[in-house]
Amino acid sequence: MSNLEKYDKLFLSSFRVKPEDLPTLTYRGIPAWDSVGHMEFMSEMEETFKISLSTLDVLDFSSYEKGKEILAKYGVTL
Amino acid sequence: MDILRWTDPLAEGNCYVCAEGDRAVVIDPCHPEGPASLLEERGLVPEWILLTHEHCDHMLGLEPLRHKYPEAIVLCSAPCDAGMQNKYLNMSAMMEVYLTFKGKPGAHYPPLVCSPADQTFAEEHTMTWRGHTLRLTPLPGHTPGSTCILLDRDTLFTGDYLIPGEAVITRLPGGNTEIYERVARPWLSALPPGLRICPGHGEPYALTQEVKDTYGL
Repeated sequence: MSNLEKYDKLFLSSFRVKPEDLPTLTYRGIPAWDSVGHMEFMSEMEETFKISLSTLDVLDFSSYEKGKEILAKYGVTL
Repeated sequence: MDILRWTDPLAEGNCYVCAEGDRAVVIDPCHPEGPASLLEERGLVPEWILLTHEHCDHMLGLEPLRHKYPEAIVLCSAPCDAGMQNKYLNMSAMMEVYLTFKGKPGAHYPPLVCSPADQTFAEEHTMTWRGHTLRLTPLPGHTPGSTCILLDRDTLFTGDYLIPGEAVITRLPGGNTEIYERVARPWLSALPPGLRICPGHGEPYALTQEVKDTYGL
């Protein structure tokens, strides 16, 4: 499975959204991606890609697209 | 018996100290220094350290307390034991984020893990301590290791269940709504009004049917 497929799968399983929703998905844009959902989601992100995100980057992870930029800082290319 | 409480000003978790003579049972050592200083001020020596669940805001002070009182026995449920050794399940990996969401940005709260407990239980566990009975009931839902601790049939330490004004959270890592509904909620529903509730956050209070209604119990 490619990194992009893993990344997409995390969103799809965590927030029960459809693939076509991903490009416009934002933090607090759906009920499931609230502050509680964000913490579990970020924990799964770290475990999946074996990285440790800084607190600032976790807080800055505000959308599907923004997340790609942040993961790139940790050497995860999508 | 005296029941003392120490509250962490940052994460607002409660540590309870049940004191009998100069000996004590500590429930949820939530801070590296606070509970230990309370014990010292009162001249108490802990014989047991019990945990209501694995979240770091309930056990941040566990390792320092063990270091200071190596004879104290740490007891918790088996899933709590596993969870406190995992930075995701014990929430310490996301604690700075959590505190930011709670309006406390900039706090330094590095990820941590704890050493294994000295004793664990998988089923309901009853212990007698200096003439008192403590019944520890595993109630997964909020976390896999969540446990309520009933002292002498009149005081219940609930951890993150029955927190004043807050709904039960089952969506954090390891939480499970279905298990909460099937296991924890029926048990909590059966609690008798009049019980003294000592929650993991907030002030202790007397359980009433009105309070139970607010939790849908």
